[in-house]
Amino acid sequence: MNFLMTKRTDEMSPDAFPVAEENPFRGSTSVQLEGFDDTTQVGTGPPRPAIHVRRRINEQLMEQVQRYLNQSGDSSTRGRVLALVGEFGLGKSHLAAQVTDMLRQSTPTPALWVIGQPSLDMRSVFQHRIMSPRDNLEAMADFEQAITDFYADVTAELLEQDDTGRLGAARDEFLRGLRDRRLDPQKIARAFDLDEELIHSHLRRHLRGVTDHRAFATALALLPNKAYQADIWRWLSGEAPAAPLQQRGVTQPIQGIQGVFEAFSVFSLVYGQSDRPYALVLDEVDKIVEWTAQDRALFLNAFEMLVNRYVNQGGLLIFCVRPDLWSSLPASLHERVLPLWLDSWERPATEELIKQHLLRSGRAPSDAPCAPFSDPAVAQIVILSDGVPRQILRICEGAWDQAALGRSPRIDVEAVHEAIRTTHEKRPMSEAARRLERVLAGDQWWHNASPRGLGDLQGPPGAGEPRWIEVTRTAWIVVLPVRSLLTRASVTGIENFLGNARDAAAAQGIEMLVVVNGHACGAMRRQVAEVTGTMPLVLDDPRFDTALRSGVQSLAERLRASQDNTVLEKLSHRLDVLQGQQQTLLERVDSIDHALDNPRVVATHPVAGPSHERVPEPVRAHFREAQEALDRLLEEGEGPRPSLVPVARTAAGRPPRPRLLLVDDSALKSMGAVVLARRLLEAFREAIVRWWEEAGPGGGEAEPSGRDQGELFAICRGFEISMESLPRLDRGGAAPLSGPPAPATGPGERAQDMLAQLADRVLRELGEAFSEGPAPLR
Amino acid sequence: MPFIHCNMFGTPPAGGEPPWLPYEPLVPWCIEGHEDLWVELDHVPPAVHAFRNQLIQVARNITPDRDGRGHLVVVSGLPGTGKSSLLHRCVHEFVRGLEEPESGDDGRPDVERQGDTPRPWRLREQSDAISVVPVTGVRNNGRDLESSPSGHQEAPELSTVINRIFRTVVAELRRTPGFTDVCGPEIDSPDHYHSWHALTDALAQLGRRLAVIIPHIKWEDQDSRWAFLRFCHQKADRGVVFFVETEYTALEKEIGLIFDESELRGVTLLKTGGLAREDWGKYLRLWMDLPGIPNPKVAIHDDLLDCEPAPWVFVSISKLQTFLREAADDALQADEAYLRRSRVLLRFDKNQPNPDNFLRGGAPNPDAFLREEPSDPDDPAKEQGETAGIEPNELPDDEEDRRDEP
Repeated sequence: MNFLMTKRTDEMSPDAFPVAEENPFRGSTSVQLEGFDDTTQVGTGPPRPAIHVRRRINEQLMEQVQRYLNQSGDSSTRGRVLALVGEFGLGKSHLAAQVTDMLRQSTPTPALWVIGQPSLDMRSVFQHRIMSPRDNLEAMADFEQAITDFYADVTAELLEQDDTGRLGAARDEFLRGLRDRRLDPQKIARAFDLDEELIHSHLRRHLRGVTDHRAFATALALLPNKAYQADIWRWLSGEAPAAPLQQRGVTQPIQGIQGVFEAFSVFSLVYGQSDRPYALVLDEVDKIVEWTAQDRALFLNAFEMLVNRYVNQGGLLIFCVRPDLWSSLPASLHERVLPLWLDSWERPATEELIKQHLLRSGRAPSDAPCAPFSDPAVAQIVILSDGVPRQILRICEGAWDQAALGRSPRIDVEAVHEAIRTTHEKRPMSEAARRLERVLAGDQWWHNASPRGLGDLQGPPGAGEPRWIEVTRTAWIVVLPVRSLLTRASVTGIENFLGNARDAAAAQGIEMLVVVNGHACGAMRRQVAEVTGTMPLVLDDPRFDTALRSGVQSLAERLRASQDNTVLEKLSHRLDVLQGQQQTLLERVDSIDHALDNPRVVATHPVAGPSHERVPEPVRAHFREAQEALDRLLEEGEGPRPSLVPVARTAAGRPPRPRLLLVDDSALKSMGAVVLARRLLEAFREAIVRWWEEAGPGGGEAEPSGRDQGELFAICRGFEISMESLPRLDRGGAAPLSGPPAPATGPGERAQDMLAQLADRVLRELGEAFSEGPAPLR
Repeated sequence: MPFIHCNMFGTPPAGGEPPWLPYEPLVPWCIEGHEDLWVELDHVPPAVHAFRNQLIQVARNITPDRDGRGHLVVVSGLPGTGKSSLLHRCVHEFVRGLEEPESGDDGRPDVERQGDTPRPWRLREQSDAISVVPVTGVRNNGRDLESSPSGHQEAPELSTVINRIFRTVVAELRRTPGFTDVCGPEIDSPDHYHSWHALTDALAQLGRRLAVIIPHIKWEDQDSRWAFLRFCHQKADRGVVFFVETEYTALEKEIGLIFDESELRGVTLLKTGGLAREDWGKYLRLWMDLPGIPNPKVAIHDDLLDCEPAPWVFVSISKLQTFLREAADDALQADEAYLRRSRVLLRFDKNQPNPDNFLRGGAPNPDAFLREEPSDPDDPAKEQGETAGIEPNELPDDEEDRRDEP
């Protein structure tokens, strides 16, 4: 209302206020297909030319249609069925209307049926809202011609069997003329006294084969007879059959989904057989989604049959469908239909659309392509409209009005935002709250008081009161109604709110569901989803109720599951520990068992002192160092030194509790490794001593031989590989091949190094001592 | 078209004055002398033979009393092959068969039979034994039944057609002397059963039989055709004989399906067809010997008998007669006394069927091959239902109209 008034008061200089006068974007943004061709101009104003932005899809579609129209001849290869697949507002109907116009303007005009939307009451659609042959004398004549063609074929067939010579010498010429559709079979039948009743009964039989439908065959066979024509045309236009037709077996009007589609398929046969082009345009097939399953199945069956007929009989069928339904259509349809997908509009097309609307209203484009729209405003329109042309036009219309209201010379981002707010934020926040209440209460989700400490949490600016839902004691869902999501700031507001809430209730799980009471484009929704982990819901969405219900449901499940997870993890950890302890005990029992079965032979243990001293001189120091390192390790043990001082000597004088010392697996393992390493070292030393005493100068006069050298090598190598098979003493340590060894730090590492190099050193030094000849000193 | 007083290749109207009508059925039961114009064409003797054979067997039982039987005679054949003529001839034979034993009883002097040379083409007196009702007149043209009172052609509908037949029959019978005195009020009942019952009761009291002649009706539907024949058969009872004409040539195959074996005993199916080569000579000789043809006429030259006619004139008697009539017209125009072979041959050439005359769209139809147009405007007498029949004034009226033609 406001802008209408402004418009009148603003009639000053159009240059000063380019955003004045009539809004070029005013007008309906949805196209309705019309069943009838009507070019009569309405009113006195100049007709508004339709605006078509040329995009690839337009060209594809028009090319297909043009190719259909250009192809002549064999109707079995001409037929095609096209599906315009796309979401709301992408311009399916617009394209369909464009095709319809094109078909109506082409010559010769093909027979064209246009159905705005399928309806359960198909009879009334068929009867009242579709072009019937009666509406168009040419179509009627075409139809009659087509039936006459069949009549001619049947007449020729009967004449061929006639041997009376009634056609004279030109018999063959007559037959050819009939089959070529040049001669009029009825004239011939009358002139040559043929049995018209017989022709008729043959024609009816023939048509029954062609149409596969008794009633249509009966009616169409009667069409050449003038007396029935009016009745038949009325019946073919959906009216109840007249008495003469009823008597002949046409008892029902064309009705029901099945009946109407059968009628179309019969029309297609009639035109297809006579190689005439014909088209059916069916918009909003999605209507059937709301039907009962039975009706839907009925529709799809009949539709599939029709598609087959059109493909096989040289027809052109175009229908508009949304992607959801398209993907649920049977595979047989997918095989026969060529889908043309409509995608969202990118910036150049958006600019073109705006420019064409400006041009149509007589505003010449100035330097900027979309003036008075500013460049950032256009960018915003591209983003906020999601590339849906219907949205683009609505936003433009609103923005224009906003700018006119504010007497602004240009349309900037603010006007665009304001336009969206005015269009989409009609519902007050309280109403949004009521809606939430209604939907959630239906599923027994109560409006709980906010969790402790979150009562006075501030929502983002303009947001409604957050609604808290208690899933478990420590898990909450917060449903936050917000205004239109237009800028990054609104997303940040939501992010902050959620962050604050999670901070304030640290130990508790909080999931958030954003409900937009206004407009939210795809990009903004994605941003919110990144921040909150949930997709925002838009209140205006027709499926909002179900979306909210299932959203809350799945969030609740998510929360419960995550809590369950924490408990499970704890349990599993505890079980691991217990298992470890049990394992250790078992191993212990095993080793005791083993020890009992194989008691250690109490051999005369070589006296430590002498054994140490018998070690050859060159390597004695090495052995000693290694022995010391191992002794130190054994002495120190693993982990803190155990203590059995009783725990907690309480003041109450209760007896002190014994302390239980548990050994864990790794400690056992490393201690065992140390003990074994010691035994191995001992064995190595003994073997070296024995070798030295046998082969060495001290043992005999013989020269050291190759065999002796070999024995030394075998001993050293034996120690080395046995050592490697033991667990490392340094608990992991560096990988053996990872560069230069770092200086050993811990005692374990030192011992490990020493032992690893011991065999090498012994071999090298004893070998040198041997080859030098002189007997080492003892 | 010059005024031609008489072309002998036509049908003499009652009175015999020229002009003779172009191809029309012969109505011997109505017009004296029509029975002599019969040419025993190829198909006629077997058909008449079949009729006599079948009907003689049952004729005794065809009586108007309560136990009396009826009969259904169906003639099928292509248009122009003489179905109506055959049918009228059968009616004539039937009427004569009834009259012969009766003529002695009532002592009425039989002038026609006793007189030496009764003047031909006089209207015959009505028989007392039977009422003959041609539902659409003696021309027996089906379109009268199919059209509305305004003359607009309608799709034939079973109930309408039956209703019209009923009303025509009742209206005709009311003219029979004494009928109105004996018939009950139920005759006007909308229920056909009661109406028909009252009608046959009245006929029984009068001791009259009834012959109803029904033209070809273009049903274009098997069910309707069958239902109508069943209706005729059902009403052919108590001395009522239905004579039904049809152009549907496949009826022969169907008749066994329409009626069961016992019903078939009350049904006679006759067929008409094309002509044979010999019919040319037979036909010409008959007309050469025909007495009493009014002047002016063109005589038939002997050489015409040797002519080899084109095969297409043998398609039907109507084709042959129309062809000869036009040839005779040509000869008359050329001021020739004889119709010669050369003229006929010329005309054969000229009338050879030509596909170019049958092009789709508005191409003209050659007259020679056009059957009488259904929308023929000069047909005033036939439009009214009650004038159809044997009323003596009928045909002379028609004739008057034609005489006035320029």
